[in-house]
Amino acid sequence: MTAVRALLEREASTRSAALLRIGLALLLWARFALDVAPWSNFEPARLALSASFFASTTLMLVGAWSRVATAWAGATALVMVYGFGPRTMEPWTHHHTTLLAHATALLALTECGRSLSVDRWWGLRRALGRGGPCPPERGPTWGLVLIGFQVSVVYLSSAFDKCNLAFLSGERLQHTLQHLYWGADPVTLPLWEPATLVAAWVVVVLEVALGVGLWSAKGRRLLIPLGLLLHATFYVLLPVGTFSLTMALLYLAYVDPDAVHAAIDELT
Amino acid sequence: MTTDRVVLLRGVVFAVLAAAMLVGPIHNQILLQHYHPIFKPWRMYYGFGTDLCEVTYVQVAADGQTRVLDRYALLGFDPWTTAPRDVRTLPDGPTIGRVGKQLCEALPARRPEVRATARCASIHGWTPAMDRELDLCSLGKRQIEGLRPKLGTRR
Repeated sequence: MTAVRALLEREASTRSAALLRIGLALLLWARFALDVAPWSNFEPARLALSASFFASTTLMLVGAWSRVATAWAGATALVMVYGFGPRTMEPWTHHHTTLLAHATALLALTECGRSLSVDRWWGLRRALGRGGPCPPERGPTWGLVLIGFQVSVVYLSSAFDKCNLAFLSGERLQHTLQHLYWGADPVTLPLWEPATLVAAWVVVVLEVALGVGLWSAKGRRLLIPLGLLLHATFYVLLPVGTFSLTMALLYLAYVDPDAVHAAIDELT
Repeated sequence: MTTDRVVLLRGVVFAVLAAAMLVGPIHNQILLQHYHPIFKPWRMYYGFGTDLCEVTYVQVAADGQTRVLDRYALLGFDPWTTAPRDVRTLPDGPTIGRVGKQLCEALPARRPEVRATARCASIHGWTPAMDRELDLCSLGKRQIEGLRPKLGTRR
């Protein structure tokens, strides 16, 4: 119980959460802005969705009333994925969009506006005006733990799904790559079948390792570069949309926020 | 200092949300229930690439000799990347048959014989679809549209 209490009480730098806020707002724009722009659909519900999306994500990006804006953006994204998606917008139900919506909603549980934000600027001005101390860039970290948990669930569920003969034999990777690149001709590349078999096992082993090992500081040193390499490969070779970038961004949730704070200080 | 009440509230929210994240994978992958739009598993690329067959067309001469055909060259797609998507990926039996029929028409022989070896992608792996059992040139339009890859058996 002490460990659980410590997890729920722990406070640390809010810069990780702020970076997540900015990154997620930009990813939401990259994925949805064209779909929800006012000119794309004149139905009243879609116009309301458009207004909600752009107002909330803009406030979220600049960090004005950050937690409310992030909760609002998260709620909007959840309505898109679970409300509009199954009825009229099937592409909004895909995994990369679902993950974006979940991560945004979970970020509202953090003090994501206490750093790198208009909220911070307002806070500093108030403090200067009163002659008081600067507002601390610190807040509870349990929301970040939940984001990390979501990422681990994604990895482990995805790895579990691949534990079948079709994938582990390399055949499902062959289908994917032939569909995208080679076409219907038999592949004549040397070592094609062994290479896809090895790649399939590497993907599954790495997904399990990432799902579990990212919680360990020692594991992160090796796994974050490997995970970034894996997602970069997916991003370049496969039509994964914003998924790779979102996963890479969400690695911030695992890293000690005070270490992120110190790293930014070193850079500036 | 965080009060007990705040810690309790955080704990309840944490537990509820963590449980909610697990519902989809458990519902679909452990309990093997049908896909539900709310309780989603993270099954990425589950059916991707299954609209593809790996096909070799051969021309069979009167003496039984076979020659592998280059469908892109015969159908005038140069470079091959200019071919339509379905000619490149041959997603199903009817497409294999239609392209085979076009090859028959493109060949200079008077009554050519074209057969195909094919295996098709499925979520279960490669599944055999054709083994040169049909002369595609002799098939009528209805027979071609009735062609289906033989799914469900492994190589």
